[in-house]
Formats: sequence, C-alpha cells, structure tokens
Amino acid sequence: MIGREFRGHDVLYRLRLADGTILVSQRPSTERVELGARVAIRVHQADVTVFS
Amino acid sequence: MDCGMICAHAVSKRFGDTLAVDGAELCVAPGEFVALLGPSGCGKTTLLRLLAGLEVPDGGEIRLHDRLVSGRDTWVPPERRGVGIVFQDYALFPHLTVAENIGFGVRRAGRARRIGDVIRLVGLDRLDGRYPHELSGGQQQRAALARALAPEPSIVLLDEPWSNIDPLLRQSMREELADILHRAEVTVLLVTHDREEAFSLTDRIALMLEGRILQVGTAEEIYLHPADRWTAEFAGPGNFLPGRVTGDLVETLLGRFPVANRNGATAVEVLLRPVTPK
Repeated sequence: MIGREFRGHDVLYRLRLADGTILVSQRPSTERVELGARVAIRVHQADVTVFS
Repeated sequence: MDCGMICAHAVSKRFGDTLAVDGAELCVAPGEFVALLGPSGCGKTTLLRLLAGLEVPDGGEIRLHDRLVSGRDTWVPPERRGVGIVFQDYALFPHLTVAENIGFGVRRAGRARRIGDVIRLVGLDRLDGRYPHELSGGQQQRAALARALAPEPSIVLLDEPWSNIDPLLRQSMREELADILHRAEVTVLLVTHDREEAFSLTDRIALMLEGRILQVGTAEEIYLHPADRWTAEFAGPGNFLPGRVTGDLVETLLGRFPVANRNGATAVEVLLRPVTPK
C-alpha cells in the first residue's frame, strides 16, 4: 500500500501491484492499514464499464 | 416535442471563434432538481443564460413549461419566461432593503403579502428592513433566492450559488437552500463545477464539456456507468485497466467480469471503481 487518503467515512488507498500497476481501493475508515503494508485485493463490482 | 418543464433541443451559442454551447440536449421534468456540472469554461453558465433568455441562441429550440420560448421565429423575453434566477454574486440592488429587493419583480396587487410569505419561507423574518451590505453572505444568498421566488416562478436557475460562501458553511447552506427550494415546489437547474455538490443535492446530473452535454443521469449512473473516459475520470477515482472482450465477458489482470456496455471493440479499457464493501 503506497498511499492513503482519509475521507471521513472511508479511506481511499493507492496500491502498487508486483507488475507496477497502480490501483485505488476503498475501505471503511474504522479500519487502518499502514503505508507499506502488503495486502490482498478482491473485486466487488458486479459488472464493468469498458471504453475503446 | 414534449419533454418536460425545461427542454433544450440542439441549442447552440457562439461567441466569436468560440462555440460556447454545441447542440445541447436537455430535458428536466416538473419538480426535478438537476445539476449542470462541468469544469470552468465548459458552457454551463451560457446554457443557463440561454434558458433564462439572457442570451439569444444561434440555433436550436428552448421550451419552458412546454411552451416554445426560443426558436427560429420565436423569442420570449426573460421576464415572460416564468423563471427565477439566483446569480453567483446574488446581484441584489444595494440601495434597496431586503423587502424592496424581494418585491422588485412582484405585481403590485398582493405584493406585501407575497413579500411576507417569501421572507418567512427563506427565514429572513426580522431582516426585511436591512440593506444587502448589512447581511452576511448566507443571508444575502437567501435574500437573492427570495427575490427569485417572489414572482412565483415554476423554474429556478441557480448559477454557482455557493462559490462565494465560506467552505465551512457551504454544506449547511446547501442543505438549507435545497430544503427551501423543495418546499417551494419548483423545478431547479443548478450550474456548478463542484462534483460533490452535484452528487449530493440533485436528482440528476447533466455533465458538460466544451459546450456539449456528454451524459445525463443520476449520480450512481454517472459514477458507475460513465458514458466515456473523460466522464469516468471527472466523476471520481477509478481503476482503468487494459482488457480483452470475449463474448459477454472482459478479461483483465484482476479477473473476468460481465461487461455493462458492449461497444463492439475487443481491446478495451476497463473501469473498476473503488467501492467500500458492505
């Protein structure tokens, strides 16, 4: 985990995957993940929007 | 064409070399609260002024209350469009009291009663004799709203009404103004560049860029299913990943997902929003 933005009711995390891809992920602010922590990710979205 | 309280069809406006509004299409139903959202200079205030009759379009048609007010051979002046406007700087007359400002556009018959009704609606009961410079920013805004509501319009247009308000007060003032407008039972079009404002207050959002309306929908529709890449980025943080569409699924480095909007392409970019799990 390479960045965290506290937003009150939740926290927006910036994550870097092993291949260098950067992702953003959101968790409740009642949890706290420290910068540098290794985390697992899971996708919650049912369907996705695509652009060509 | 019959589509609602506010209806803009192919409306365009050019200033010199700049196409400020480019074929705008917008329909707002009676009682709806809709935001015109977009970055500075995208044409949203120009579109609002066209609807109000403060600018003359170069093309297209505008209907208000299902009546043509602007078209090829039709022009209805602002004062006969049944529209109230709250400007960014409120535009109160500095030499008139609150009550005189509110009563300015009201017919003489029943004027005093109407001023009293509107003053109570916006909560300025004991300030009716004050001049604008004797009011706080929030009170000036309520006075401006009262003046817009006094002639009993069925449509109210708001042009960035919170841009001059202290950020600490903005949230409570938004809720206060939205409550007043709801009680007044008017159709509202709000011009704003503030995504949070549009997402939190309105029924639907019309997203504008470079004079064009790119998408109209609820906050959820625009956030989760944006019409294009720019809208997706403007609507909030997201993960944009390369993907390959096969049948009804798209393959990404995070797995395979059903596609909400197939567009015929196989090599695509996939949007995954960060959503707090339940």
